[in-house]
This record gives sequence, structure tokens and C-alpha cells, in this order.
Amino acid sequence: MNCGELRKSICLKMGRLFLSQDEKSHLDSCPGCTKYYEHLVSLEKTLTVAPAPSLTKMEFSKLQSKLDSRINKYHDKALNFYRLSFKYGATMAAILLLVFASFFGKYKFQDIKPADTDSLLATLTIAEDFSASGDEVIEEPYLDLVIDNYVDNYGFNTSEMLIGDLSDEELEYLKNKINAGDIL
Amino acid sequence: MPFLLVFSYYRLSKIQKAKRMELDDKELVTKAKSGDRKAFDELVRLNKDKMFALIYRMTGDREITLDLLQDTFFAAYKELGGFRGDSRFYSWLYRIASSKTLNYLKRKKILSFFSLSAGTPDEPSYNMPDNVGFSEINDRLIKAVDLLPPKQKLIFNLRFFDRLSFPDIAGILNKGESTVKTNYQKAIEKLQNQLKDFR
Repeated sequence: MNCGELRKSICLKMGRLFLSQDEKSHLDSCPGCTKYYEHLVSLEKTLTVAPAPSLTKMEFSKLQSKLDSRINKYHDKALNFYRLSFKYGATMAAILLLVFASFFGKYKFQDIKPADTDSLLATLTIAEDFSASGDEVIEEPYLDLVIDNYVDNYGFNTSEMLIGDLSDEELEYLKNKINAGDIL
Repeated sequence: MPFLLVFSYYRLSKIQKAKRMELDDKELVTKAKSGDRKAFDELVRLNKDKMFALIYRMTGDREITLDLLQDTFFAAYKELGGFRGDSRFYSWLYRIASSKTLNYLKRKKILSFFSLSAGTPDEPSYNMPDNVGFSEINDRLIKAVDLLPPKQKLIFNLRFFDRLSFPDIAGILNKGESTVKTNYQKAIEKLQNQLKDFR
């Protein structure tokens, strides 16, 4: 063991200074380290002379009462917090529930059932209109064009005669042909 | 031979006492955790002197020490649920007290830096009842300890006065054992230098 190691070792033992056999034998042969050790021993003695500071009875009772009041306040605060959070929490939850319920109630009423009814009605109306006005599917420009061609070939006023002379079946046939674009 | 018997009996009774205290601590902590205020009061009563001594040696002011002690126990009460019982209860208390005290010293240092009296550091108020009539040597000693940097002072106090082991101190301060040892060694060397001229 060299001097540095010994000094570090006894320095760390300060407060509980006891020496191992190695340390003792080093000290026996090293006056410098012995001086260092003696210095540490005297320092330790001096430091341990000072009494440990302690609380007086009065200070302790003062501490206890202050601590008690702080703990009570803490409990009250915590209790109030839970009480208030429950109170306001319940109110908020009720309000949110109402808003939620009314929103979704409204949504269902407007968007789902009425929409279905409306769209169904609209479809039915369109279908009905379509079947009722089956004759009007023919676009007039085509009809005019056919009549004009006929008039060009057979003379003025023949169109009225022609149309008037056509039977329902013939008229239907003509319309279908026009629709199919065969005549044009 | 009779000496050996007496010595071993003494050692045995000391170990038993320590084990009983540890059991008491654990029991009290369990009770306090479940909301027993009397158990907590008992824990305060058992640990008040250790904590007071540590904080007082660090701050040197009785009033401030009382405030910090109150803060320490109050924090312990609030955080008791988080105490897992891996370490002894007093170690946990030491940790709280140490951090509160170091924070106070840091704050004080910052405030004194900004205040007009920054140039004249506060004299530690050691002229308290328990120090009245002490010799000049003791005053110098206390001042020498007071001149140590806060962390070194804390480590020195925990090791020298409270007789804690290095691993315990390392656990309390959340530092490595070698760091604690180095700091302790430095503190001793500084004290030796400051108190060179008297033995």
C-alpha cells in the first residue's frame, strides 16, 4: 500500500476511523502518513464534540400543529376538489348527454326517415310522369323535320291530312321509327 | 470470557433492537399508507431529530430548518402512497429532506446574487440555544463545515454525523458511489486545510 492509497482509505473512514493491519504497518514505517492520520483523528474528535442539534419540545409541538393544519387543509382541498368535480362533472355529463341525444335525434329525423320518404316519393313521381307522358318522348324537332320532308315531297297541307289519316298503330310505328332514327 | 459474553449479548441486543425498529417502521408505514394519522405522527416523532439535525447543519438557521422540516414531512405525507418500501423509511425521508434543503440553498444563493448584500454572505445563525457557550474552536469548526459547497456538505453530514454508508448516501442522492466517495474525500481535505492550525 502506497501513501496515496492509504490517505484516501483513511480519509474515507473519517467518522469511523479504524485501521486494517496493512494500514497499521504502513503508518509504522511512514512518519508523513502518521502525521496525516493524527490530524484526521484530532479533526474527528473535534467534530464529534459538537452536540447533535435537536428540536425542543416547544418547537416540536409547533411543528406538529403546523403540520396537522397543513394536512387537514390538504384533505379539505382534496375533498372539495372531488366534491366539486363530481358536482360539475355530473352537470357537464348531463348537458353533454342532452346535446348528444338531441343532435342525433334531429339527425335521424331529418336525414334518414324523411329523406327515404322524400326520395321514394320523388322516384314514384318521376316514374308516374314517365308512364303518363309516354307520347311526349318524341322530340319535336325530329317530328317537324319529318313533316317538312313529307310536305316537300307531297305538297302543302298534306301533313295535317297525313297525320289525321294515320291510324294509331301507324302513328306509333312512325314515332318508333323516328325515335330509332331510321327515318332520318 | 465474561467480557466476551457481555460483548456478544450487547451486540445481539443491538441487532435485535435494529430489527425491531425496522419492523416497527414497516408496520407504521403500512398503517400510515392506509390512512392512519396516528401511525404517521409516530413516524414523524421517530424521525424528527435525525431530519432536524441534517437540515440544521445544512442551513444553520432554526426557523428555516423548522419550515423545511415541515415541508419534508408534508411532502412525505402526500407521497406516502408512492413509497414502495425498497429502502428504509428514514432513507426515503433523508432523500426528501436533502432535496428540499439543496433547493433552498440554491434559491438562497440566487437571491443573494441579485440582492444588494451579495458581497457579504449571511453569517450562519449558530448563536442558538444549543450552541450557546461553545468554544472558539467549535465556532470555527462549524464555519469551516459551513464553507463547504452544499453537496459536499450534505455528503459530509450524512456520512460523518448520520453515520450512513456510502451506498446508502448514493441511493439517497441518486448518485454513483464513487462520486459520493470523491466528494466526501474532498470535503475532508477542505476541512483539514481550513483547520490546519489547531489540533
